[in-house]
Amino acid sequence: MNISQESYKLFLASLLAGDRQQCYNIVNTHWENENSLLNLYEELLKKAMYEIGNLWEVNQISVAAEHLASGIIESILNDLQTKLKNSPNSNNRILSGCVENEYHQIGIKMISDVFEKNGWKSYFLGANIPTKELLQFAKIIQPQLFALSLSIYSHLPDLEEMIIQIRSVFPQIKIVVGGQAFRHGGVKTIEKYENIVLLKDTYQTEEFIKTFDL
Amino acid sequence: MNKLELIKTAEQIHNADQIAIDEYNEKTETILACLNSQMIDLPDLDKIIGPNNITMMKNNHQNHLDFILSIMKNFDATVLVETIIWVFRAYQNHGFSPEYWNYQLKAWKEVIQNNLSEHSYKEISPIYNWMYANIANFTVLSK
Repeated sequence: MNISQESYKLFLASLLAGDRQQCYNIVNTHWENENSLLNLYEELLKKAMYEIGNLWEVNQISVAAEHLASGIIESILNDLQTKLKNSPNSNNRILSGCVENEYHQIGIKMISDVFEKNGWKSYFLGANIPTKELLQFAKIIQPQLFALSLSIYSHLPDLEEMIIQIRSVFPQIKIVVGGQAFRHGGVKTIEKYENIVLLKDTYQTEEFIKTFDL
Repeated sequence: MNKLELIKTAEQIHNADQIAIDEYNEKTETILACLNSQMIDLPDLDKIIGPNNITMMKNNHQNHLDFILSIMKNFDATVLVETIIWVFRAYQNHGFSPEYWNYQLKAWKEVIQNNLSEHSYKEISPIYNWMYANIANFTVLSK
């Protein structure tokens, strides 16, 4: 089911007004009407956050308003996560997070939850995860997959360093990467490494999960 | 000049060698401090960057350093052009005057010349010369 333009506009206006309850109501209505999780992510939450970024760019909203909106979106994601089937139905484990110095965690949180929705045990480490800490945690949980997010192109060297470090300890494990930084470039850099998959959105992520082969 | 033509010119920029990138990376704090100091000393700074924008200006300089370092490590002409257009648009929308880019890039050129070795300056200056030479194009494309 598509999300109507009217519903999207009301959601965006509520976000900008900091009206958390109205945002929840809109999301819950769609959820109860069996709108898919991925539709909510892509057509409502992600679309709204991109628009919020555009509004900052043209000086229509402040950084404070942007942070307020991000906070509401994150709480909605946490709420949606509780609605997912919570018991993993496979032995697959994914470890996800943002590269060092990267603080934009909404996208990778969505990706992490898409894996959870599909029966994976998902370990989401959030923003700015030091590579050393990621590796130490990975040694404990032994994931089948890593998911790393990059929003700011300037952090591409940090992502490369993280990939190299992961490869030195887990040479065979596949790594998926994604994030806004790849909208204009960075693909060639990633292609230098084997066993790396670039995923552009949650739809593509679900397709990847369905065909995932260890 | 349109965006594609500008990307074509960016593809011709000499990319710095690893020695120069390492030196630029090692000296980021010094370079940033010198650049900020030089910009803050400008007369009529408020007219150049807009009122109450010093923090935003300093953030831009930090972001500039991080971005240039990243682009020198993984050169991508499209990313370079798209990012500069975005930066011009976003900062001008927040009160920075078009003249800011002229002052700022001139200051970058001076600061890296004063702080880097002759070899590293020679390696890194082409990207700064290219940005400086294309201020007018970026100003038009960011509108």
